[in-house]
Amino acid sequence: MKLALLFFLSCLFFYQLKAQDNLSFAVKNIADSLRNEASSVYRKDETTIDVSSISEYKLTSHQAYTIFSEKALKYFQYVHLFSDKFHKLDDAEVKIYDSTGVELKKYKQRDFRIVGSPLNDALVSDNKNYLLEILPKQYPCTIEVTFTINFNGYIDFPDWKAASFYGALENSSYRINIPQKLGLRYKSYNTSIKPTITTNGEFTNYEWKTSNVKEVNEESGSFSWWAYFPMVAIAPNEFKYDDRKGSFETWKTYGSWNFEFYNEKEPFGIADVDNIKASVAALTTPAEKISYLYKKMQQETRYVSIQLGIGGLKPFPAKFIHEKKYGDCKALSNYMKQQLQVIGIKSYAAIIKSGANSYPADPDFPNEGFDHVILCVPLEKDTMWLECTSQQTPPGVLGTFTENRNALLVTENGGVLVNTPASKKNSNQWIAKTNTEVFDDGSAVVRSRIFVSGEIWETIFAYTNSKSKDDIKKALVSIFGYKAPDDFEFKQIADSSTGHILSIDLAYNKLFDFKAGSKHFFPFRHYKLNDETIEPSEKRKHAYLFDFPYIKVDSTTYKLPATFKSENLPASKEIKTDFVFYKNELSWNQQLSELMVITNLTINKHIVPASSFNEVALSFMAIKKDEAQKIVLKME
Amino acid sequence: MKSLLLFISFLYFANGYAQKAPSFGKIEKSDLEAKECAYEKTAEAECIYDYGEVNYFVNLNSFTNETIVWKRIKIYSEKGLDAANIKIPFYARGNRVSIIKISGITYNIAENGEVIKTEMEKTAIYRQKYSENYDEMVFSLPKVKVGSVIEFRYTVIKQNSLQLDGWVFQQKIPVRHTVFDVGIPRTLGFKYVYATRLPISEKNEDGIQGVRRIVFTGRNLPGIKREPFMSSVSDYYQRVEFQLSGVNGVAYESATWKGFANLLLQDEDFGLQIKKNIFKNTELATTLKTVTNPYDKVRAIYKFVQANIKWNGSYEYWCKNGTKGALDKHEGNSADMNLLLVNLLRDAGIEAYPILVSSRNNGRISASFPFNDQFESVCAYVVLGNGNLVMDASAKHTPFFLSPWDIQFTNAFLVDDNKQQLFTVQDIAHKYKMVSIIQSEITADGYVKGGAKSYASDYAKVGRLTVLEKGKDEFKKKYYTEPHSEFTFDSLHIKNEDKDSMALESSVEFKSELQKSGEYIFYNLNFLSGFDKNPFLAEERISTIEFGYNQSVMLTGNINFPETFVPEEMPKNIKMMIPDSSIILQRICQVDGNNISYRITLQINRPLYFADEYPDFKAFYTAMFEALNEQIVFKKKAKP
Repeated sequence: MKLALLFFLSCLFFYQLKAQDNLSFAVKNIADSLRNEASSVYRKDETTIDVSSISEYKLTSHQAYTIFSEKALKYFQYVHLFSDKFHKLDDAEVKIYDSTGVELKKYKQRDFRIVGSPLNDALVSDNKNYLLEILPKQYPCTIEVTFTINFNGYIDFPDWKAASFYGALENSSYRINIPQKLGLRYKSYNTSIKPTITTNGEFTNYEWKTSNVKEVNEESGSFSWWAYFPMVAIAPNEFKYDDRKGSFETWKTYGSWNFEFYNEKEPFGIADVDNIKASVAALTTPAEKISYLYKKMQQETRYVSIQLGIGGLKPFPAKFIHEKKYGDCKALSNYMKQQLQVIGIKSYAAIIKSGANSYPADPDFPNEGFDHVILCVPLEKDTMWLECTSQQTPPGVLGTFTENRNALLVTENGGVLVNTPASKKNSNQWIAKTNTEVFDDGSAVVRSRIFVSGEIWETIFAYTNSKSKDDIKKALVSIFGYKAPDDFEFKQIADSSTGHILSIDLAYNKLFDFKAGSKHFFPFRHYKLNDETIEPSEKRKHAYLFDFPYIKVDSTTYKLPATFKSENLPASKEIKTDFVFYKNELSWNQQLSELMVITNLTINKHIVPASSFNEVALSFMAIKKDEAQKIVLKME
Repeated sequence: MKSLLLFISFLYFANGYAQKAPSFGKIEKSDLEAKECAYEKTAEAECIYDYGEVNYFVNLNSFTNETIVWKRIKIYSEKGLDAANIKIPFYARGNRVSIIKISGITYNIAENGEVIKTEMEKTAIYRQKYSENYDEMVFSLPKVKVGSVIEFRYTVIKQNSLQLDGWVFQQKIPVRHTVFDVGIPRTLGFKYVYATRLPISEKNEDGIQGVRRIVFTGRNLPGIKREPFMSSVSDYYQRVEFQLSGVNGVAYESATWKGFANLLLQDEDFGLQIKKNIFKNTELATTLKTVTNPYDKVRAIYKFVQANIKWNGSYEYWCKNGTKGALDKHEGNSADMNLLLVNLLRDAGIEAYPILVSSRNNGRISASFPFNDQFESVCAYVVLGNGNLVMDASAKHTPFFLSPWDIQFTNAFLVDDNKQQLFTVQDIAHKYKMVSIIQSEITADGYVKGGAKSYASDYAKVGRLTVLEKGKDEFKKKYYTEPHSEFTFDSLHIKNEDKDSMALESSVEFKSELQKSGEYIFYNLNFLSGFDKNPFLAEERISTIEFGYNQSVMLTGNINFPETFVPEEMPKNIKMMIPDSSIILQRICQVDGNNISYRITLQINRPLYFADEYPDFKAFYTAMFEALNEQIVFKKKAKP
């Protein structure tokens, strides 16, 4: 073993003597304007795609980046490549050069570790993941990565990114060579770079190039990068994936290709069909029937992701879900669709790009870029959207994961791009009513009833469901900003079709924040109503997005011992813009010894254009300041 | 199998439980009807039955180890559904380990009260790659919803394996009944150790054909959750571990601490690496010629190893590249680095030894038996006239004179043929030490601005350097903007990063609008203390609080305020102490004209607090945070 290692090492040494240094990678060649010590510079990012047929292409990637310090390594520490049934990693090589371009180290494909597949949420998948960890011994250094992947089935081509988030770009190019008879389409976003197009016999060659591009900085709270990142999307006209031919020339044709996946002739046995029909027989309206079957599915099924072969696109048949009661988004949506079909309600799978504030698909440029499936049920008056992977959302509600964008409906007549509902402030509410009884010694009992819905409920649910009392306490303090109680009780007391009612009772040995002589300083309320982190910026470039619009109303009553008198109450405050509404009112009833604080914080529209950014940010600074005030009560 | 059943039922009887032994495929309806776990009401799921049975089969000269695993789980809430997705990783290289006879059943209750049983189909079982050497069997049970009971079992076959895996009695979810039944042939000798606080019963009997049967049983074990300042979660799992101590009556050398040390010292990847002749070919041979003080020699050698070898991120106690190889390649694991350190120190005439360690995160070392699996890494131990040192060259931010934080107050094993011994690493000469000096000025319009200088020494410096490694922005965020989001901080300067004997100095300028209410203005003295939020909110605690160091924090400052302000209320001068005096908070605060000066000192003179001390500890922390957050209240003067 040791001998073999020695032999190997001496071979390596011998090889190193002959190694091809690449002096063009020398750090001195980098223009000063591109250097950023805390970051890195892409020396080269070349992508070459040779399409040989409707189902095959070869992708060659050649990248090199110079890293100036260990601080920038985090983006480059791992080279991660993968294979699956349709992509085969054929050749991978990584070299490290010193600051003058002399080769220090070389890794071949066999040096990559094979790691467990599920880097995503899949329980089972057939991906094979290759991982190489890079440990440079000196800085600056240049890392060069080349690899080839052979595709034997495809739907789309990689995009060309004409800049980077992780460093400046010295040279970048993207070349695609494709048989003329296949052709392709492309569209530029946030860049005006045009391709050079040449023909060579039966092939057309497209090439995009750029050089000396500064690093792109992400702004907090903006749309996903599609909104502002310079890039070119490149898409096939025709394709063949898993031996099924399709066309991407229009959204309609791509929808047609998907239709067969969701079209089952006899999804259920006769007995199951009868059962499904019988279960909704007593219900009258389609909406009631849909809600019934949807809630039943929520109770009975769970989300489990299994991605094998074409499983990324094609759902398991409805029968599988019916028997096993688990599946991923496609499978559960399809299961729901087939059940609705049984009771005579037509519905469509809707393919969508998920994630809060994701950018919508381009209506003018059909291209793959989706990662999720939901169900759309067109009804006479309204359309019902169903998120089939959630056990919590009410029927007909989507949530920020899929709202405010478009989705591709897969219909018998092909694909149709339609908008999903816009997020509504009424769907996300926190309406709290709190009675606080303060005793002579400053101790207090706080009793709240809170109506919570939508996204705010999702947060509450995540932090309190099946949690120990100590965990709930921790969440109350750290997530909702409650002053740590000496004892408390948290209960979910009722659920309605639109939301949930919570009861939170807290006991404090000392409720006031502090006292000065006879003066006691109380907070406006016992938690934070405002949890926004937006701050003014001199150079906001892009729209800002709150997570979702909402209505939060808090009314807190302090019932005080008769010995307390109010000293100058803080003034009421109101802020009203197109985007934000804030109103804080205080009133003191000397007779009852009762103080009332009513606060409303509403986000009307959750997308703020850059031009209004500072106005909104300043509003929130003022809100923060107002909320931090104290109520001064004097004990006589 | 029959005799086993008999045995188990006997055991129940003996324990006074009148229950029948569970059998696969038959469940109690009461479990399906249960809405919550009786002894842990908020549990998302409960392991009703967790059974493991190990048998050895002898075939000519080879052993086959067969382990049957069987689990039955009740799902109480949506979060518990994940318990129905099962992954069983196993060593796949050489095909010597296989997982067979996987079967699973889900039980639900129909509206008419009937129990519905759904068996998992074999097609729902997948095998996939887990890592380079491991594959995993994956399956998901059918028809699982809140309220379901699931059970599954499988058999692990290990060919030619004497290794006996231990058993963990406790899990994240509560366990109602766990049984680990081990049959050991007479020819094999095993030692075993428990890590248990809760009662685990043990039956040890001679079974048939010279097989010794040991049966461990535990009941109603609560789920384990992470707590702040807890060391390793695994330390708190109730478990039993085995190690082979002999075959056919011949004791393994590694079965004694002395034998274990000898084996290590003779190993090519451990002891022999210390003997490699390296020193004279390094620059140290010349640079150390003029150094006479042993302390300075140690410093120089420690720095040499750190400067010349990049740690590859892996803690091991076997060399990967070897001491010489690591130096040639400029890369190595913790064993390469620390055995090289020992090697060079010895050649420089310093008394040094390798020590095997396990970080607090990795779990405690049992003193009773040299289980080699329990060790995580190797460090260096140096004997000097004025005190001994524990060093880990892979801890690049830790200076040579400071014991590495992650092994502070853990057991370590000194590897030497004469002096081999277990001892506790403890460095109480060094603390987590912070001093901050704050100069601030309040303006007439209610703003505060000023400058602050903070000095972090010893463990405080190590912590700050680790954050600084991620960048100055990260440093600013972590120590300034995050704890004090209402402030803006500018001109952050950091000094003495590389001087191991000096405190890390960081200075900033700050500005903020003070909180106000009507004519009152508030000023919070708890600024840059690092004690912003009380992490000890939980009412109960099962684990020891492990800080890993003693602490000393001092804040001192001057506040200049305008003529128009009157200090209406000042935080009182206090000295508060926990009953055993190990924590002391002191505050002095005085007004002199338009100036307030204050000093807050906090001493925590114990590195750990036990769970049974928690009520006192928590009460003190609550009072301490209240005191720290007392504010100065200014009142604006009415216009003259």
